[in-house]
Amino acid sequence: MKAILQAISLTKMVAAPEGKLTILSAVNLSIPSGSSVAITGSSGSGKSTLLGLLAGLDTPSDGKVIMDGHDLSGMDEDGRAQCRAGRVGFVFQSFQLVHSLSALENIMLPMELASLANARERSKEILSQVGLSERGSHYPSQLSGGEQQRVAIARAYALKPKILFADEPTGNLDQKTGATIIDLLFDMNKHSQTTLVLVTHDTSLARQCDITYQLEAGQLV
Amino acid sequence: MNLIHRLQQQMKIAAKLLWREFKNRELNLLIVALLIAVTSMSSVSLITNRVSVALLQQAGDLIAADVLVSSTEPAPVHWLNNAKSRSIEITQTVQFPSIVLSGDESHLVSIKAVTMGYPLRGELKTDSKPYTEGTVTQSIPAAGNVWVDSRLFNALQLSMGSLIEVGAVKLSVSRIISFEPDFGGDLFSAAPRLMMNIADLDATGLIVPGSRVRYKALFAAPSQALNSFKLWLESQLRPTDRMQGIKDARPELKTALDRADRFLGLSALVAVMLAAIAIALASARYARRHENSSAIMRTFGAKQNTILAIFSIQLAIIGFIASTLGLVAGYLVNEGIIYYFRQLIPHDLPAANLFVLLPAFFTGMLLIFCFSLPALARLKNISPVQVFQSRTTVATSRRFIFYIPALLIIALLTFWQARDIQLATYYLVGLVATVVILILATLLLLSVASQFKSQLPVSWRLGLTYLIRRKLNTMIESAGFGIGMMVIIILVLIRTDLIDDWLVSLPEDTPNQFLINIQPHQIEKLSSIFKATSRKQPIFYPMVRGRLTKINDKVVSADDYDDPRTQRLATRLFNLTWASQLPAENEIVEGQWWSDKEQTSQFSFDKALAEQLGIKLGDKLTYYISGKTITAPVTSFRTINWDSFKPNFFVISPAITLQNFPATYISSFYLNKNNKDFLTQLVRQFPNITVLDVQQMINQIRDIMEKVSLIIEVVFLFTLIAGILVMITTMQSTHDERIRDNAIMKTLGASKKQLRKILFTEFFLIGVISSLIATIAANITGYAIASNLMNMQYQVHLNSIAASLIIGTSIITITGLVAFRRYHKMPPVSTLRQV
Repeated sequence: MKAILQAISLTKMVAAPEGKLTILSAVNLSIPSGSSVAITGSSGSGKSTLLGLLAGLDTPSDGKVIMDGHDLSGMDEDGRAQCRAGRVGFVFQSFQLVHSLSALENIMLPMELASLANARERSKEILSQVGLSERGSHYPSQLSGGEQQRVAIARAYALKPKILFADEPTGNLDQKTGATIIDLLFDMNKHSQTTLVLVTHDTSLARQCDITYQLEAGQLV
Repeated sequence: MNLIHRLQQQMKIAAKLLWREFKNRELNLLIVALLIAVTSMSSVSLITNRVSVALLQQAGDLIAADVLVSSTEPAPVHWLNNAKSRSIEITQTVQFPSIVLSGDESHLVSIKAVTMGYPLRGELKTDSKPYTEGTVTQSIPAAGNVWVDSRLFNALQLSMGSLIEVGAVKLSVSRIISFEPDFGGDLFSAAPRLMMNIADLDATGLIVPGSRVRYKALFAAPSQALNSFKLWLESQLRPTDRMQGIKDARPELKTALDRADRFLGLSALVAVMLAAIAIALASARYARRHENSSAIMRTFGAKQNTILAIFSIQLAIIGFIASTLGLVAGYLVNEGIIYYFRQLIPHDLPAANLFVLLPAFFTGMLLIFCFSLPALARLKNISPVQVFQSRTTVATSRRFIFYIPALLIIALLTFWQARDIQLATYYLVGLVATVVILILATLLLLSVASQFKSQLPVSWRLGLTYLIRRKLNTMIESAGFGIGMMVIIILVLIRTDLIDDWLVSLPEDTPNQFLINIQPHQIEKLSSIFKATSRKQPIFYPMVRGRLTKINDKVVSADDYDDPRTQRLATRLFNLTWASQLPAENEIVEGQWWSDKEQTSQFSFDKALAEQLGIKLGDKLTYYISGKTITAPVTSFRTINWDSFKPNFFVISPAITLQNFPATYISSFYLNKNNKDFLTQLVRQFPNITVLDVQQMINQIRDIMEKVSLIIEVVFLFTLIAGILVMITTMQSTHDERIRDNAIMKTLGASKKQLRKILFTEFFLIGVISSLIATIAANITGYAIASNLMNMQYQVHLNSIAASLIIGTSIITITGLVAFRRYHKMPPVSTLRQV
């Protein structure tokens, strides 16, 4: 299967009081298109940093990321944004919904930014797919954690991304709700044939993915 | 995808986000700050523009003619004949101050006797009731009648048909003057008006040689006939004559108006600057609150410029709404002030020219963009990776370049309002110096207070701790509120305590009545009346009126001087006197006084006036007096103590110089307020003598000062409100910190009452600090005014100080408690979840 995402000698260092701190060191990986990939590791292993680099949200200190044939390392911020637009979706641990927009409007937002027509109709459709068609006019503060994450998932799939990045999607949820969310995530992933890249410390969740990469102290083991 | 479509989508997103912010009232402070700035500017612009347009549009009305010649002598007959021969319309007026009586009540008025045809331009309006718009009248008061203005009508409690004693005659009140076209020239005239037919003038006996009378000859005609007549008239003018056309009607008014416009504009600018600081703080908070949503949008692929566009559109909408509301509010304020002033400005001012509001509107739009620029730059540069992190990874926009537009706007606005580089520079330097002093004083007080912190109860200690910990915020709050409060205290001090103290400082028997227009033959009889009533004999000072025509053979012209005030002083009529002894209130500072029997003509001149006119010791001055000239050197300079309330003169000479010219006499005396009937008798026996009641004049001037100071106080009220906004927005910047601290204290067992008390002490302390500094600064300014301008001992009024402290502290405390009342009501769990 063709790789939709590749990391080549990916390194990330940050400034620290004692000098440079290496978060990631020469990470190499390849993610086939349509697969589900788990990136696991203990807290502080660099999982979220790796996710950010793979998604083009951040720039590596060394190495490169090839996303859907595009080398992100040579691009500026706006170039990477353009690459992300329509290609990438995100689900975050803390949901990251816009508090002043309703559930439906949160889902509409990426479509409006991409100037797509029929954003409202499409959003209603996705909202019903995540089982919240009655809650479209409610604000994040009026939704439970699980409901907010379902809206976030709906938003992530709004533009039919090729790659979905999920950073600890169940981290702020109880076990039962988390399980529901994971089922939904995989369900929608299968339905849309998106490549799923999942960061988690939960090994049982990782086992549900096609491929698992384990990160320890910034290096793949 | 095309640009327009993209822009439409961005506008949609921007409007949607903005609407939610409006509903949550998160934009209130930003909108109110901009509203204050625009209201302040637009109200001042409207008022000054309307008055100035009235002056320009009604220039002809201001002199009630096309050409006017004003003089201390009647117009020669051959002028009138020449005008008639050219079919030019003519009318004449005679104007002078006098006391009129109605029963036992007397009042100083400005009398105008008119001939048929008055006014030649503009409209005279009258009514049978006071304070109305009136209807246009084509006639003048009939012989035996007078028309009075509303002020006099009320002051003497007149009714239609009441008899008024004008000199030796009694005339009947038949109409009330609603509008007098050439009254506009005396926009703030202290004395009320009375109009009579010139046919009754001789019978009054009020015009005697040497009287202070102004004769005006008014001419009107189509421009061709008028121009040639004007040319001829200019060649006929005497030294006492002054000709005015439409273009130069009342130049001193234009100067005064220009000064008022600049002063009020610069005053309003303080409010604008404070509001701009509040805008900067509020937009910084707005940007902080949207960092996360900006980062999320970046993860969806939104470019930096998209983020910038969305928030710029929001600012544009906010700016448009708030600026428009500000214009409406400014219009209402201007209408309110004009209404309040209607008694002093009986004109109908022209309707507001709404184009005048454009600068205020554009200033509002510029303010919101320039002062939000650092916040916008911050949002634009937000990194999408922030969504993974709890803190911002963007360096806050402290780069100086983002503050340049804001500083430029302030500088441009200052220079635009001041219209003078030096004035603008002094203004900016003065403002910065004031702010620095307020800030340093705040730091000093905080430092002093912190020494006693440990001895305070817990809520006071915590309140003070917050102030000390957030030192920058405390300084901004104190300076912001302090400026507005300080100026208002100064204004109130000047028009109340300072004037009262000045009056009280005068000796008890300080003369409070002036007698002018006393004829030489009346002195003996007057003296005997004072003697008969056991009153102290007044001193009678001779007075001759003359115009300074030459200094050392050079003709004196207004063009020789730059300052409009000096121009008027140079060309006005002087009151000259003669004396053998140096008057008690005068002191020779240069040269020498003459001997008792001095036989050489010479002048002693007021030192300050001589400096203004450029007169030096030894200069020869030529005066034109009653058709003759007199030339003599200046042999001494004097300083004069004007507070003695005795007649004093800029120019004194030995008797030999002036005694052959027709003179009247003036004097002053003290009259107990219970002896007003003595005054009435005096006026009845000597109808030509004008009695000036100093107390009444002071009351009238004080009334005008109070009204004028109201405009200034209204403008500075905006400054005070803007200062409060700065305080609130500064406090809002610590919103999250306060909520978290409150939640933590609640989980530790603090009650709502305790939290309320801590909040109260914080605001109470900042209120005390800023009010104390403002009060002290205002009193120091009051001291400077009293000692340097009014030459009097400054009295500290503890009740005024206490009132300032109480009012200032209360305003801040109540505002703070109301603005932050929700904080201690929120349950700790939901609060901790929020942050």
